[in-house]
Amino acid sequence: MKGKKTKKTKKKWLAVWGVIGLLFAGCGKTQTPPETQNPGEVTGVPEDTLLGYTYSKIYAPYQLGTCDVKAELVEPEDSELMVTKLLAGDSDYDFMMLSTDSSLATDILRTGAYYALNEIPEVAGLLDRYHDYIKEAATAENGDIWMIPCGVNVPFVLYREDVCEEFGLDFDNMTYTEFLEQVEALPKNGEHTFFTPYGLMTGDITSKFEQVYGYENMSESEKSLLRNYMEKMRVYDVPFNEGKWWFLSSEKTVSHLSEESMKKMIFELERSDNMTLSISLDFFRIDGFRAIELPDLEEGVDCPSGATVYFIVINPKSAKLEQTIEYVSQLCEKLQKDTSLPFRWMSRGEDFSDNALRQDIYRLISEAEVYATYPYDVVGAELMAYREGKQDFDTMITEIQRNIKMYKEE
Amino acid sequence: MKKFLVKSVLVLCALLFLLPILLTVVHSFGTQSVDEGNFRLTSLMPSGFSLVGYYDLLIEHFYVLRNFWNSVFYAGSITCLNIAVSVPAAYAFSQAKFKGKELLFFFYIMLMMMPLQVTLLPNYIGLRDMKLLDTPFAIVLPSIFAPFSVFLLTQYMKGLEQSYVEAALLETKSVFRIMLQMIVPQLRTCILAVFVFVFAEYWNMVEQADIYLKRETLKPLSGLLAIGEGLTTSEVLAGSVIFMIPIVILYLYFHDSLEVGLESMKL
Amino acid sequence: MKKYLLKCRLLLIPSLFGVALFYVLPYVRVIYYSLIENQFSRKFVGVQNYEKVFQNEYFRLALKNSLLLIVIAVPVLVVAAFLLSLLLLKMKGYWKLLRIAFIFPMLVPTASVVVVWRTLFDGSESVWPVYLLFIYKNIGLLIILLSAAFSTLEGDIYEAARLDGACGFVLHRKITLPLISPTLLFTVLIGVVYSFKVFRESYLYFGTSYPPDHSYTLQYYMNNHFYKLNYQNLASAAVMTSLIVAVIVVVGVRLQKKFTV
Repeated sequence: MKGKKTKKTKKKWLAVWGVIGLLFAGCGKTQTPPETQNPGEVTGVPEDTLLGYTYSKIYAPYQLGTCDVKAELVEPEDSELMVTKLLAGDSDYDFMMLSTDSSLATDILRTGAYYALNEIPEVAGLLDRYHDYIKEAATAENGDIWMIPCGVNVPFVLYREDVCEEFGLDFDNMTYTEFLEQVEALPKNGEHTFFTPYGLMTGDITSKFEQVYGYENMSESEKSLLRNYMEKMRVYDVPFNEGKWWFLSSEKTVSHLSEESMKKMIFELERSDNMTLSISLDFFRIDGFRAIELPDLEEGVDCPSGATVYFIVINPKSAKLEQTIEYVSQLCEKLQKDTSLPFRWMSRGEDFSDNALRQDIYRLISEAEVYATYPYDVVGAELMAYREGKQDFDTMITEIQRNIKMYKEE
Repeated sequence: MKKFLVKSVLVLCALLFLLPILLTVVHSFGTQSVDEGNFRLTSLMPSGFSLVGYYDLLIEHFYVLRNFWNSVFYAGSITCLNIAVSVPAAYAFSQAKFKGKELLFFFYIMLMMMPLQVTLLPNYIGLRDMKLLDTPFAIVLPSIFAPFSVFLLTQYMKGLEQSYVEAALLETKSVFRIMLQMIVPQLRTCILAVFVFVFAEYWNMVEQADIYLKRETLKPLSGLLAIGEGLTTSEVLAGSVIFMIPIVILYLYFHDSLEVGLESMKL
Repeated sequence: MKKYLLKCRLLLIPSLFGVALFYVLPYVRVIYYSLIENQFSRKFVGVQNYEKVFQNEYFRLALKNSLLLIVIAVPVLVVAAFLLSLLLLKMKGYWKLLRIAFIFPMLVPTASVVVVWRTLFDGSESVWPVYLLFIYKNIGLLIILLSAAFSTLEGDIYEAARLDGACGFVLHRKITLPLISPTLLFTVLIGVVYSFKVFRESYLYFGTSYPPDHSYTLQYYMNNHFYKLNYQNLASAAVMTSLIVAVIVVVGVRLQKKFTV
């Protein structure tokens, strides 16, 4: 008898807890999660506005919003959504803004998921303005113009001529090894600053290696070169807040605080995109700053800077295709005549002889090349595992080669 | 001696099975001891005792309760409607005789086996054309018709004694009434079992919510916890514990009735 | 009676309608996509995609791994469930509640389990972590199904057999197994169904789209091609897989019919 009673009371208690739980959840119904940043993405844009998706709005040139045809750029909450929309042939968005270093870009080109722009004269006119390599990147093998470049980003070393001469840093003829050795020998007394975002260009070393040598069929000398650099990366790649010596000021902006401290700067790793922002104006204003390519990987192996091109590609299934084409031709017309710094840097035949730094960066951008990268899972994950000490070098190489083969052949 | 051996083996197995749950609960009360992004525990026992995960989740990010409610709504409605559709279908499969019944049932089994990647995109297209994307229907409708419960229930129903049906036929001509009043009570246990499994499956669903829904206000908690965006590890752990509670309660509540009264059923 | 049987058919209609709309229609769409060159050009190319996929070494690897999962992990799962159910049968009173433990893995969010798994199996180079994850997650369901089947067995058959001198292992082999076989085959089928759903666990465990060769299953193949905008390969692989699954199911159903007493 007792057993039955306890069973019934147990059930009662469970029911009570169940009801409490439902009430608990029920009051959740009154809650609203924080406003999504992209109301346009969720509720759709007005009839006359175009909708474009992008991974990152930061790189969008402001001119995108200045045409007669209105357009709105949103970042999807879920980046996989863009793949789904492409495959499903969704017509509720009109274009995408991507960059050449994303694998989606290569896939769109390969599968023809674009609207060919050859018949729009303004597009051809804009492409003619750009450097050759940018024009080539926008042209598919079969001659289709598949995208409209609207920005370029190139990494380089920003340095002060006089300070570097004082310390004997000659960036013109330097390999990464020499660079690392020389930086190690620099004084770390806080008087002169130097700054690199990821710990002495460690991220750029591997990018450059991928660009110059690739990871397949590596020779022994290439392997030892990479190993050499990755060993150093293990040493130097320490987070900022550990206050290590290669980041002498506690905040990047300290070196920008006064003209005096800026004049004492040794070098900084920069990207051309940042140089168009207002906080970088001082670099142009104060005399003595120069720019040059990243150090070479090896003695005598010169290679152009790796450029990332930001571009717009039209959704071939867009419901507002005519409007989008109109928008694109207006945009190209504007960009063709644009005289702002980023577009002048992208164009052929410009002259910046009045300012040495601008001229340097212009030369860098004009001599760059675009190259495709592998998705993170293919190469990046293995590199990271090695840098965190989870696998040794030879395993890393084998794994990378295995992943690349799989990525290409699956 | 033999009994002791059996008992100890079972207890050992049971502990092993409960281990991940226990660890999740224990670590949810501790300071950060899970290697984020790496999905690894840094140590077996958490370093301290703190309610920071629960506090952060329930006070600062109180809105996740909305997602919790969504999960309850989705799992509950899907399960009830799924059973409402599948029981008649299973009944039909076990009772009716028509040409091509075997073939049709065979198709049901085949469709049941489709991995999610296959149906995700076409369903997205279908739902988009029906203008149901980003609504609760996008999640609920496809799931209601999932063939799994039909399959399970048919197997149980095949063991029904025809004599019951014949007796019932003497009293009423309505198939519906026969089904509801005679057969279903006998199968109450099986239906409850199917209820629990289907509920568990849709309580934990992630992929469909990810792709078919855009608005945060509609998303279930399962997806939020799986991705853990905007939440610290402790919050995710705390969330997982809270998330487990309803399903555990559901199972405990029905657990004894799952045992009882299958004597007359043949599988 | 005849009217009754006719009316029974009507009960199928809601389910049929929904299945047609949300399962058959997508499947037909998938077949269509497998026959075109490209999601964007929509050029009809017939079986070209199938040839390409079938000749692809990675598809064959994925197929092999998926089949291995079915052929190895599912029997282990069923046998383990069977043994545990037998042991649980002997429990009386509160010890019966031990059964609750085994259903927990199915109810718990995958991410929590994966965290523990990765810590436990750190550095393992074999398929077994994923197999064990699969078994761990699904054994509860099978235990419940098998326990239910056990409870339908009448005690007297065992009495009679024991009187005849059978005991232990022989007893189970000659009496239990044949009586349970329809359910056993049923649970094997369920195991196969769930083996196709194990992708999420595997993906969380390895954390990458390119797992070690031994764990690269069909779902990885399909998932990767999805993100490469290569829906054609995914579709062809899916159709081929469903045909193979159809064969397995036909064999299974025939076997089950043969064993039904």
